[in-house]
Amino acid sequence: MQSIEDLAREITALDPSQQEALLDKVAQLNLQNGMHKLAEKYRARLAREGRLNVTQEKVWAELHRIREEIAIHDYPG
Amino acid sequence: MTTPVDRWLLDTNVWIFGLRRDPTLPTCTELLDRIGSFVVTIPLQVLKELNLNLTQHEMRELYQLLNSYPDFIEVSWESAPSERVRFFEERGCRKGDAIITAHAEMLGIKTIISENRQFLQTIEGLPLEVVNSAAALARLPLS
Repeated sequence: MQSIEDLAREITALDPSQQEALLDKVAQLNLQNGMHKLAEKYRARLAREGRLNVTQEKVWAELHRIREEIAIHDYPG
Repeated sequence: MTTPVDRWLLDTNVWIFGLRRDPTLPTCTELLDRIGSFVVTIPLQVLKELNLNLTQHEMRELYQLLNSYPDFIEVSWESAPSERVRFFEERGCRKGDAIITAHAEMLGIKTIISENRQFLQTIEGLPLEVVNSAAALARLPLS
């Protein structure tokens, strides 16, 4: 594996537009990793609660219930 | 950074099915993985709904992500104007969907991504569109 020093030299040798695209891609992958970690924790919790493998209909019913509950609270009438 | 092309509002169902890694809706997961090749806007209604689906700890983790990548994810804390919510209700949206639509309009967003079939069908003839996650993915450049 390359050292950080070598990697940095390689990156600074790139065109500014390539550097920009690279940094953008790194940020995107970091965000993706963060989402994966969050998803894993969420799935683990749902599994512990016995709710991971509920039917899609049940998930929809809960989503609709929450949506209308908030909507009626925030915009009564 | 290079400016991503589109600003999309992801409906709560896309977030939830995506985070659940639901095998029946894999395009929701794929779409969450592609954030950055488009900009996501999260309006107040979606934040409130996520808050009721996720634990405090999970929400904190989500906020950390949102705050770390402001170029890719925008959060709007403003309420949608009630007259516009009424306007969209009168055109066939359920109240909750009308709020999401009014948020999108207020934020200048033209595309809402949702798996909600009823939502997908009710917005015809309005200056914004609702498409599902598969259609949204098809619009993105190959990664």
